[in-house]
Amino acid sequence: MISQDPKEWTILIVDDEPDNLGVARKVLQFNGAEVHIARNGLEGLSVLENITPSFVLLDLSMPEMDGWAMFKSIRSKNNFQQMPIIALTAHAMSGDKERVLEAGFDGYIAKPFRIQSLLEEISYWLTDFNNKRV
Amino acid sequence: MQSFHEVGVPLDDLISKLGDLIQVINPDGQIIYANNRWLECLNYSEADIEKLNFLDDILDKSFWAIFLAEASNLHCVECASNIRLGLLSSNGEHIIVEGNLIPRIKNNELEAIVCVFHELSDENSGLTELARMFSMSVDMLGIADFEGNFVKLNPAWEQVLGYPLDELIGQAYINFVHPDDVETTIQKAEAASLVQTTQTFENRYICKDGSVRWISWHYSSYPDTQRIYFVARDITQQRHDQEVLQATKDRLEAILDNSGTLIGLKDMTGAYILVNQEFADLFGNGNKESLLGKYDDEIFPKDIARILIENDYRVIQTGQTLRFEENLPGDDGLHNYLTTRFIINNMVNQAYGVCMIAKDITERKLTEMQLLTRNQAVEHSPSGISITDARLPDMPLIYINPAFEAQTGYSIEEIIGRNCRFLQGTDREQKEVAEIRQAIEEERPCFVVLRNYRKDGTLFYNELSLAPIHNEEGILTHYVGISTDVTERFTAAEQIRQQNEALVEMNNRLTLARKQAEDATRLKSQFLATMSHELRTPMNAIIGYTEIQLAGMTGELTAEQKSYQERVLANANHLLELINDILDIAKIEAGRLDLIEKSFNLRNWLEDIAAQMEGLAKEKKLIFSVKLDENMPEYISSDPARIRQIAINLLSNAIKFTNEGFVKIEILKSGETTWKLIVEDSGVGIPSHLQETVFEEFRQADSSSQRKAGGTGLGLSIVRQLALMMGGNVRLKSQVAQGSTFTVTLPLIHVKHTKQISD
Repeated sequence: MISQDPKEWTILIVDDEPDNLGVARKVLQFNGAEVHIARNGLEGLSVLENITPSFVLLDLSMPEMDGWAMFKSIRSKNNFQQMPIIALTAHAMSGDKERVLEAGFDGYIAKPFRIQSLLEEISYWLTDFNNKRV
Repeated sequence: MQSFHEVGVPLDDLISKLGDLIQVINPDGQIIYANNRWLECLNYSEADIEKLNFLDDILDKSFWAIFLAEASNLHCVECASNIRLGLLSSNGEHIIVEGNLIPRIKNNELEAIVCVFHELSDENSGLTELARMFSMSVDMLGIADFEGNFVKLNPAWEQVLGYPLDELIGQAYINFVHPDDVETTIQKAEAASLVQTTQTFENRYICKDGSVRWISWHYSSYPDTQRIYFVARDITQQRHDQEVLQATKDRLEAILDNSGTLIGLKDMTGAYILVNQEFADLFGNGNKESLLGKYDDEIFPKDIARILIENDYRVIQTGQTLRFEENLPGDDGLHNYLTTRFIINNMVNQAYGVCMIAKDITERKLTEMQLLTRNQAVEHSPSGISITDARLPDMPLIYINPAFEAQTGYSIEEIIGRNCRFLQGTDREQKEVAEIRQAIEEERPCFVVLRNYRKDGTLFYNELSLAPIHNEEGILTHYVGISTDVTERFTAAEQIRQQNEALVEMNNRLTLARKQAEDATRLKSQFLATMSHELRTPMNAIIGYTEIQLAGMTGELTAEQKSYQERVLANANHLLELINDILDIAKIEAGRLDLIEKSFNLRNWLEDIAAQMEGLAKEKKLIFSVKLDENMPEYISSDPARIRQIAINLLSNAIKFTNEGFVKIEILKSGETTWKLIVEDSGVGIPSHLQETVFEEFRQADSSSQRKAGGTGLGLSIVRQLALMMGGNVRLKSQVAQGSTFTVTLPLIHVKHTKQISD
């Protein structure tokens, strides 16, 4: 059961675009969450060796290792089964959301996001995740 | 009486003056002495005597036998008396004499013969003449005795049999008769010896040179004098002529009988005087004689006879040889004859009779008819027929029918004698040609379609069926070809083939084009996806940072800063809206907008939309109402995301362009197969002249209205395109300042609700 209070969150944001990373980190930190960042999948995986975040916000298109590969890598490990992975992506054309959810992601948030709706959507997907785990 | 010697008359003088003919000859016939009367009578001088031989020069040869017979007896008698002989004078005169032969014997040898003749000729001139006639006759005259010996023969015998008379006279005539005729000759002679008779008879004699001659005898026998007198004639030539004539006649008859024709000869009255065996076999039960003397109407039925007689009449009238086709009865009905009729003349060139020679042509006519029929069939065959002679070098064409001429455009004169390969022109490299060559080599039939060229150079397809013809010995003699111009069929087939090829080609191209299109679409989609991603990414930063500032996360903003940041945000939002719509349109036009059909609960769907849009309407203080037709099924099958897009676009527009009054969304069942989504407002409305173009991209009722009301101008275009994609349409009803009603009609697909299916 993951808390709905941003202050209790430890979040890993993986995104190659510094501005996007910056917006999301700013909003979440402003709301009290502990934010770790990584610039691609490989960096993300190395971060995960040291910390276990409440959830991961994962961009899909990245150099070195993209979101899909990192997702597969994480899901192939037993110790992260209770960690939601939410796609945070500018792939927002019709069908993209379905594609992401079908691949097994625990949530999908399209860029550009509104700072207000970012928290709401995270909350929505966490609730969804919690419900599925019950 | 005194002896003569004592009388004193000189003997020489006496003898010389005697009226008798006196001669003395030695045994060889040499004349030793002849008196004056002798010389005078036979017209010789004294000087001639020494050179004369009685036998050779004086005695008529027909009397040799008599003289020699008497002379040989002179040994035994003192005197031979009353010997009658024929003598010849120096000028050839016959002199008949009669007298005595007195031998003079010395030392028991005949030394000389003294002949004392008196001339009978003078006393009996008839005898002389007879003797002359006898010796000059060309017929063979003679006398034989009853012992069967020749007694007297005339010189004609020498001519015929080649024996000198002295080898014949005194000989048995039977010795000279041909062995085959001996018996009958003896019989005749015996018969003649019994009574006096006159007969004729023919037999063969063998001549001195071994040849055989036919002799015809006319003879009379005199039993009282035991003599047979005869006149004989050499009839060898006559017999030979007769035999030749007979042989000729037999040969001619054999020829006539075996001529394979009917031959008949009629005299000028119309009576048959000659028929051949075939004629007799057919009409006289094989008996030629039974037909002779008969007339046509006694042999043939009346109507047939009448025609034959008429034909004869025409021959006689014209005097020419004429030919007729005539019918004559046969065992199996009437037969057809080709008859030649002509006049035969006698030796003095007078018409003697009419001859007919008739050939049965029934079978030939039948064959001719069959051949004619076949020939006509070949001539009129719609297929080209050609015959080549396989025994001549290079197998020339020897026959073509008119259809072949028509097919090729060449006349028969231009074709006969040539090998048919000229029809290929220069187009020799055809595998069919090799096929024909192979078939000809193996003497078997073949069937090919060749490219041939007419005289005018145009191409035609010749479907050629080639068959070998062998003679009775099994030797290939001809080839017969049947040609059909299959150009039409072939070009049709060729066209179909070409069309097929074109279709295949087109298909390949289409496949390629589709692949290219797919590639292009894929690239386009990828491009769109990339563009979408790449446009959104900076938008995220712009909107994000602006909102962060406006939210005061970076400290308080001055009123002016806040105002500017709000303008940035509004423009960013508009830009984002534009990006979304452009991408949607692009995606629809790229054909990459896939409909995802599923069953969903219509009420939930509608309430969801209402919840989303109600806030916006309320912000503008508009009455927002939602209505769902109770007749609509609870669940329908469609693409809920896309109809949501339609509904939201229409509602967004309605709210944008309505400043007071209401905005309404309604769902109505329309018949069994469609349903309607209606969005109605009380807004500015759209002038009628713009209602047609309002669905086009970047069109708004008033280009200035965009500025007032916002919006991209793409919303209605997207609505229409989505409606069309889903098999529906959209209609607009509007009045300026009164409001607008958009009605989207979509196909209705009922679904039975199951737990598994939900939105």
